[in-house]
Amino acid sequence: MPIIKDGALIEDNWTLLDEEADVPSSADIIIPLNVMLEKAERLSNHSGRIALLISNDIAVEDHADLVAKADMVVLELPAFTDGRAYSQARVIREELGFDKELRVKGDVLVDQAAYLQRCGFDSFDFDGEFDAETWKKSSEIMTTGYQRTYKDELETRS
Amino acid sequence: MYVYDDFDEKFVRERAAQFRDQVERRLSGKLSEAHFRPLRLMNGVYLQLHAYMLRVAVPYGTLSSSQMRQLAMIATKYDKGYGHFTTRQNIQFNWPKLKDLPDILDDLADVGMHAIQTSGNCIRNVTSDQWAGVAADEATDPRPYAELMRQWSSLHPEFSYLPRKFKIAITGASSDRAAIAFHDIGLQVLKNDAGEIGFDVYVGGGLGRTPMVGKKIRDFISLDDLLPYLVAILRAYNLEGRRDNKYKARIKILVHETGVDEFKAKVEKIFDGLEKDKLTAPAGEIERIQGFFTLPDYQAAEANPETFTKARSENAAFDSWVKRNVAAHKQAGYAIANISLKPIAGIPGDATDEQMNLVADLAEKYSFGEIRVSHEQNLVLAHVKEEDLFELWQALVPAGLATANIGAITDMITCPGLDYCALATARSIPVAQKISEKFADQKRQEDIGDLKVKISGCINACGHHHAGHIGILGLNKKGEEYYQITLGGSGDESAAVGEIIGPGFSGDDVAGAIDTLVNRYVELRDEASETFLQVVKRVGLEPFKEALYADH
Repeated sequence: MPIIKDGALIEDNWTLLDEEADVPSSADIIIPLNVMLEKAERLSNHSGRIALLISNDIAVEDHADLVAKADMVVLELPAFTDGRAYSQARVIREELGFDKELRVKGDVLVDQAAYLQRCGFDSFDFDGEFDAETWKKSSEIMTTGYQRTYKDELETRS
Repeated sequence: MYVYDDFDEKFVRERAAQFRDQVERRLSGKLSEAHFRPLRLMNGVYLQLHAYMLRVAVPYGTLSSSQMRQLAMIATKYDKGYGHFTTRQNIQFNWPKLKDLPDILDDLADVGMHAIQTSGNCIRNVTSDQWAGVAADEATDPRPYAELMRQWSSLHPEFSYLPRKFKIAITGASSDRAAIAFHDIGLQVLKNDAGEIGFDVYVGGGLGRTPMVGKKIRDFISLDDLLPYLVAILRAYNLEGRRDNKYKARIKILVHETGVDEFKAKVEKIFDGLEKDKLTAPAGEIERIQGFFTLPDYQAAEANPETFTKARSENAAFDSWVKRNVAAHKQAGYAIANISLKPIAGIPGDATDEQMNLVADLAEKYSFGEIRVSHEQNLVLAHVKEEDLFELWQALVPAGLATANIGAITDMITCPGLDYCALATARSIPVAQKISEKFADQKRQEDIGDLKVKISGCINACGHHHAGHIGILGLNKKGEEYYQITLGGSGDESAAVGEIIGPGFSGDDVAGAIDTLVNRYVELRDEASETFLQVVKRVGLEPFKEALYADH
């Protein structure tokens, strides 16, 4: 499945690790937090990159050490109306200081692009169809914002 | 009042363009109604029983004459010639077409207005005291901080998909006219002995199906820490508020289920971890905003001038209007003139385009071109010279805008009810009209004194019935509308939730029941100055129950 990163559609090379699956040790894998907590020893010989998938009912600050070690963090948007990941993202960026890729996965709407980017997300894994033109328009239409946020490129009142 | 600079203007124009794009995608079928819904709601667009409804933000209830004229123009051009002022100090138009909405937003942007977040599960229009800046009992003008919060909350990237809507109110006066105890966050602005501004913070108040009075969780948070503290509360709510049941999703339920002490501890923990410098307003911004809220250029005016006292003694109707509708002002020789939108048997809160234009003109002539909307759905001219009051009143009379009933029994808050609203279970407006007719006699109203009646057409309580001295809730049983009555609620600094008095009444019988309750009150009061609410608090519900139900 392609994902959007830095505004462009790219082929995704991360594999989601479910509990029993065998993956080559060189693969880039996404590991759910609970698997990471229970079976971290399985990863001792893993040579590929490791991303952490955190569901939206988790207090991310309780797992600061795992976030710090991750090559990517993935947060979930089970429904586009469920805004918990927006707050999780800001905590991960602004309080835990995580500066690698932060991805949102799930029911992402193009009209949410700008809000998500401002909260610190830089890659997007859509459930549905993706319309690149609308995405671009939607994420560029607002050039101003009242709030100062993580790596914000909007014009704010200084 | 606040005036947009280039930055505000650009922001609002871009937002209007964004919504135009969303509407175009909806109309072309690219966007489904399910996905369009939260987007339109965040821009104040509802789908009601008969049509789309657009709710326009009137930040903390303040309008200029030119803004009011533009609202009148919108009512004429896109609606049926009227608008409806709401309990969030906003105005809503009941008959616009979806295809016209982007043009309306452009028209609003022309006068520095918008419809951002007047609906949806986000931070709603911040409300305040309609007498802010001029009330005789005010310690500090809350409007600069209301404006600061308007800007901070607009298209907030983190708080636009909350579990449920989120309402903030702020007052700077000792008498609470903004009902801060019934808000998700209520703020009381204070000034300490050193002259510094601070805010007492209340959280978890609300009406709806589970009415609760807010609890204080912070004393005197400093001005620099205000926005970070709001972020901490909103973040705690966004992460932990219930999303499994929309009726349990407001912050009041989270505070109640968590316990206020534990909730406060969570907020404080988040607050301590915040990079506050980044979350507060940039240096100089608060001073810039405060600069818009200096007092207007009052002239030296005599208090109680002879022309005014003479007009009062010679004209009983004017005298009645002054007694009920004119309030004390900070500045000697000036007064606050309240314009009732509750004519006898009218639709509470409605104003025609002609009335809006007239009020705009009168504001320009007598009140520095500024108008306020109250949460009780009336209008206010906040700076009228006492010697101008008689002329002002004479201009209001022929337009049907001189009803002398502010705070009286016919000055009811009423939700749109089943005449407009898709959620309503019963009609509200016809019930209000019948009560209004029943108590039309001016002498009787004056004898009854202060009495707040509030009517909601469903359990969501948009008509604030829980906070009414007499509350009326419209319900539906087996296809029949009926109305439950509560007594003893209050929305001011003595905030309380009303108690149900007994079995409900049919729509035809409600006005009679209110009449019975009022007659009982008149018998029970110790002296004319003892209000209905004071009597209910003193004697309890029993004597009223007896009056209503003894014969049945």
